[in-house]
Amino acid sequence: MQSILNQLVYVVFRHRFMVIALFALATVFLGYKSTHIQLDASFNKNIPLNHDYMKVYLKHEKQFGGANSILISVCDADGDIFNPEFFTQLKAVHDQLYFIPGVNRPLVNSIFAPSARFVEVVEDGFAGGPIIPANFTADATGLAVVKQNIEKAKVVGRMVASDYSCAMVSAQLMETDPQTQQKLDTLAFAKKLESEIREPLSTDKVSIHIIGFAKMAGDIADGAKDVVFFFAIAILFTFIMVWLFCKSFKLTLLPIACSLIAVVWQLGLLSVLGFGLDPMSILVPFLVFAIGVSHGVQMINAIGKKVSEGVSSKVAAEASFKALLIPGGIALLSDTIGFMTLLAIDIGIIRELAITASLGVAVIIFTNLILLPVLASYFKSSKMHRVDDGKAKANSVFTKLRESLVLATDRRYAAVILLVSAGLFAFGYWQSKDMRIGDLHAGAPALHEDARYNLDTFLISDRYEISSDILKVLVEAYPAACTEHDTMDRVSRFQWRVENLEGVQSAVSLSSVAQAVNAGYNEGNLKWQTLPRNGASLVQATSRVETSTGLLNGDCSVMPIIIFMDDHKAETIDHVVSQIKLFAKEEGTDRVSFKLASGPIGVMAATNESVAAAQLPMMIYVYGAVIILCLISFRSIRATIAVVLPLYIVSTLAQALMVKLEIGLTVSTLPVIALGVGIGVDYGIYILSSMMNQLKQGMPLSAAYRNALAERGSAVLFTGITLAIGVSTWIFSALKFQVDMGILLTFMFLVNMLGAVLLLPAIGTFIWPDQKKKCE
Amino acid sequence: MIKKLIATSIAVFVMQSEAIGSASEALRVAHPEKTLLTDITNSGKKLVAVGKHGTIVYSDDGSSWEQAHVPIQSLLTAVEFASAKRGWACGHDASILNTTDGGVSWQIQQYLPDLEKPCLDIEFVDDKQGFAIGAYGMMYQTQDGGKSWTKRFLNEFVHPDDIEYLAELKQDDPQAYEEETQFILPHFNRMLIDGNDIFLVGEMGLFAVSRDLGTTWTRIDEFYSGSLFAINKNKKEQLIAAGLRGNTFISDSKDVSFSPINVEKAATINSIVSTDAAQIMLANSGFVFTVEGENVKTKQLKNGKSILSGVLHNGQLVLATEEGIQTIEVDR
Repeated sequence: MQSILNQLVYVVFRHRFMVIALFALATVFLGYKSTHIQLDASFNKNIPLNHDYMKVYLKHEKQFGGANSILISVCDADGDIFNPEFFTQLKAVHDQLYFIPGVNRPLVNSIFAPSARFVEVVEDGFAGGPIIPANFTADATGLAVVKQNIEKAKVVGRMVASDYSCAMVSAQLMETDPQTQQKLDTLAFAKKLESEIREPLSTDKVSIHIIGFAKMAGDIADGAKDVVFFFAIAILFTFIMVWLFCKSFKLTLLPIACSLIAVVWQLGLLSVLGFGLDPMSILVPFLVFAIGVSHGVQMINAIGKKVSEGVSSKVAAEASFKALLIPGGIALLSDTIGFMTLLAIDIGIIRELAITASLGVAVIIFTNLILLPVLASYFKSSKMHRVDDGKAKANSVFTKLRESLVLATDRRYAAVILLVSAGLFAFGYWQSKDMRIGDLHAGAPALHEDARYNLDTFLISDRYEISSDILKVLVEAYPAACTEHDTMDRVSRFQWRVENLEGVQSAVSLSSVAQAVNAGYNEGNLKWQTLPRNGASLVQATSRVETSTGLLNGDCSVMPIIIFMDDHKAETIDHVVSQIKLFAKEEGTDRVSFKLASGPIGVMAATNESVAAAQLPMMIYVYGAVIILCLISFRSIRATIAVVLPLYIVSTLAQALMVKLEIGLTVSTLPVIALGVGIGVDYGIYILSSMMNQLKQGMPLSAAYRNALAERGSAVLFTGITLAIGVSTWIFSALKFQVDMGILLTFMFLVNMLGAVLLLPAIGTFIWPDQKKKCE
Repeated sequence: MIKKLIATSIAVFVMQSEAIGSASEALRVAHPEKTLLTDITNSGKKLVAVGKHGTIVYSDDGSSWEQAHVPIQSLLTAVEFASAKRGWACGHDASILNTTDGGVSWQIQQYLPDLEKPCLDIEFVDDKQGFAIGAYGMMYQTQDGGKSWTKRFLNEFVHPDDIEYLAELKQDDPQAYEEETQFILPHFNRMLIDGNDIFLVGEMGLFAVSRDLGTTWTRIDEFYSGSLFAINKNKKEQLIAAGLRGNTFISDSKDVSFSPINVEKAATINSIVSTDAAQIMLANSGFVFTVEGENVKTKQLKNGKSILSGVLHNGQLVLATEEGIQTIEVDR
């Protein structure tokens, strides 16, 4: 290993110009490529396509539509839709939406849709017609007729708000355009919703409220653009702090520039590989920057120190390169491998994040462990006026701080630290048991509660009986199943049980519609609103329902039960889905099975279950990677324990914090736990690798630790604090998601640092006791 | 007509060959009072409402409801109490249930799913004598509080053209007669017992009277061709009958001759509740028509849900609607 390292050092430092030239070329190329990177949000990316529910979903997607819907509620300011202006705007919204590319046109629905018809019972049978008559004029008489038709058509609560203050236009989006085979550009679609519908068609009297996945993704992407601003603040702040740390403009420039090059490379490589950047993983470039700075500061710290010892910058750079390539490389490699293990989770967006993050961390090995020392070797008198060179007066504070940290290797203090840590861990572990999977709040949790999207969501769930929170259970039976009383009765009973569940607003199925039709055939008398035992009557009732309703396929061998839910909180979904599984078992037979699931909630349920299932393997993979790499590099189980145990305690505490902040475990928050490990592992490895060399030479732990702190400790403390302060500015973000991440990352930067400088030596005191005794 | 009858009877024969499972107990759910409820009554102690999936709910105060134990899952359509303890309910599958504990638990007195006919109303003269009526002229009568129910066929209501044919058939082929009479009569929708008088309204403008507690029946000349669903009597001894599309008729106080009352909304009227001053007609689409003399006031439930029945309770009207119990204030 050592000889390979020497070889590498030789190669790199003999051909410094070549190395820099190669890096420059790569940076120019990838920099150019990175300008092509685009924000990209797609619905299917968020779906665990191999989950059982999603197999059912994909199997029936063509027939019964997907889960990617958009709801537009057009509302009247005075709370009464029956006025000419409102109807003009409503029709305009319907027509505009119809023509936006990506919309599944036949499924655009509102009272202006051709399929919006009413049927009424008259003395001699049925009468019916479109809700909006062909000769409709928006005058008093015309509007009165429409109002009656709306009541007869029983669309109040669905197409029209329960209090007649709004009307709904809804549509389904297609993942790929059937004509052009082009993938739907969700964010462009979201923009069109604003520019072609909300902006031009809102008036003083008529307001427009839009919800659905596409709109949410669009709003998140808009908010995510601010990330650049926060990014800039963090960079500026880091720059100032690094300068305060080393008092050398040139040395300050190095870690910042090299970390930015890492970000450029990452974005460029993503673009080369054909990936976009999802709004939800827009924080990853910042993490790459942060991890890069952390390693860069270690490097300039080592170089500056050597230079202050009086050697040339080239010798200093070469020595630092040689000293830090292994620990830095191990830390970064374990991050990379840790992130790559996320690929095992079968959800597109997490895989994308795995690639984004592991690429980003891997390039840091090149930019900050190789390029940085090579660049530094060209600096003439890059002497660091280190605040902590052990000589200046101002350093008494640092010396005191160091000495108090060294106390952690005193048995008594170590015992206290371990006890407190054990207590914190127990508390964190107990708290993290309450970690919920899925979204914990109604609306879009990535956005603030008072964001327009969420206000619109609340408005719609308030004024209508339906929302976009739809779960579909697919009844898979046999051809002509809808003509048999027993089968339809099972569907009816199943539906009734579901309707009685907490969190379910209402449900509709072929069975329930057939019952209403049966009442219709019996003069609209609701005492007949049941499934006729008589086969001919049952056929009559079901045959009146068309496949365009989405309630049955051509031979009614498949019949979805559409369930409208209060919200999509994890708790609600859990409860409803678990009960449905029970009902499905009880009402199902050999020939009739109730299959989960489709609809947005079906997708969420599958995602939640996948996330739950992925949680443990992911932790095992990430820690496995860290443990194996520590074992290889330290060749010591004890050293591995000293690095991994603090990490584990911190990530448990981070989970407890997520519970406190009411952040659920979702596809977007799950990887944060893995990222936290990646951030934390650096500190421990740097400190311990410095200690290990000295421990091997028989130095007592406290002395080894003191030296390690002198060598690398200030850099660890410094990066932890700097990055923590940098990300803490995120609490001012327009995205709730970024606020949450800011808090979590601040916590992880700080507490991981504390873990490395307090807990690690305290653990060391107990796992290297012999050496200590021997030397005292 | 005869051809049609034969066709129907073949259809009936085919259908009856289908096996139908035995009754199973009504499921107990979280919100039984929010399902379709078709009828509601005051037992004297409790409010009791019946409806979909064999649901029976009862309440002391009209606001909190409990679900009764019911042995069947059929859609129930009517409920009636003779005393605070003893009551009956009926519904689809020609089912008749009774309770002796004030509505908490119910037993099957009759359950005939093969008949494929719903009972639509059940009325008792006292705690012994009662009638269960329903689709296609279905009528069962009991003299012993429902221990036994006897089927009746009201020959009086058969169309004159068919009387002769049926008489022949009864002689020649009793089984064919049985099948023929299955579907020959109009639906009996509602019954009103008033002393010795019983009034019966139903499909195709059926309005009949019995002056001898149901032994013999006379059909009143048709004054409306559509279906009548509701009948009640006001304080002035006038009968009010109402039905499809808001058609409402009021009788002379002495005579059963009707004249129409103008109701402005074409919503089917399902039942009529009497108050001291007025008749409150409960209708589809949440319409409530209050009739005082010739005067009709119209109100509508905010959610527009159809109202099947209602009962006065502490100055309020507790309604059985297509989405369960709902309470409204009574206009003074």
